[in-house]
Amino acid sequence: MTEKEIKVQYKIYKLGENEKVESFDCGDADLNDFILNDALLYRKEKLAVTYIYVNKQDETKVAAFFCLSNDRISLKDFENKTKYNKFSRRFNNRKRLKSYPAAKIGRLGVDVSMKGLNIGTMLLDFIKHYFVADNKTGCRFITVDAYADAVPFYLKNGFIPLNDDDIDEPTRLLYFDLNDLDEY
Amino acid sequence: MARPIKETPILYGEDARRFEARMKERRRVSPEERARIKANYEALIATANF
Repeated sequence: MTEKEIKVQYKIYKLGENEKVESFDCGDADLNDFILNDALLYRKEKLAVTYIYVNKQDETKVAAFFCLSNDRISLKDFENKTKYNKFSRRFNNRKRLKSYPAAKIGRLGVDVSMKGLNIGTMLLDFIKHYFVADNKTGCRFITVDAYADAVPFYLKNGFIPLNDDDIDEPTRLLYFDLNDLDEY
Repeated sequence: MARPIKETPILYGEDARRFEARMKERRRVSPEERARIKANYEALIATANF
């Protein structure tokens, strides 16, 4: 199947509150567990919304999914959390916090039967432009909680690690600056 | 239950300075990459149910 054929045969679909994906295998048990069991709970609690990329003729064939939630990137004018905590116990620190609105890709997975067809990049492109073209409330960054083995994929797509604190963890936080898409 | 989605931490010190410096110094996305991103968005949004 080519990229062009995929775009004709598949559609993007926002999962409803009571809709559940019954079959999906991206090769990672934890990621499968999320879409098969947890996505519905996140939706019900209004913590994240899941989108599936599904065959138009047969909606049981899910090629990929991603979930989005609101996020922010906050900076503090202190060297570390301990110094900040000491300060904040004594003073009002509101003026020392800077926050930038963001949207977070909580999870993104592509079914093993559809790997190698650039679907992951296609979905990332969709998400990036979605928040530029239809930026309803202000969103400067896309963040992602990326599984360690998917980090090279996100780096290739212009994402940057937020810091090095999670370098040895199972997932890493990365971000993409939507201003990078502005014409120069 | 799958691993919970990690919270985005607050950035302090050098991490915060590096982040702000990066905000000011934009990555140059090529016109081809920008066109691909827009084309993929348009192809997908045309099929969307939202």
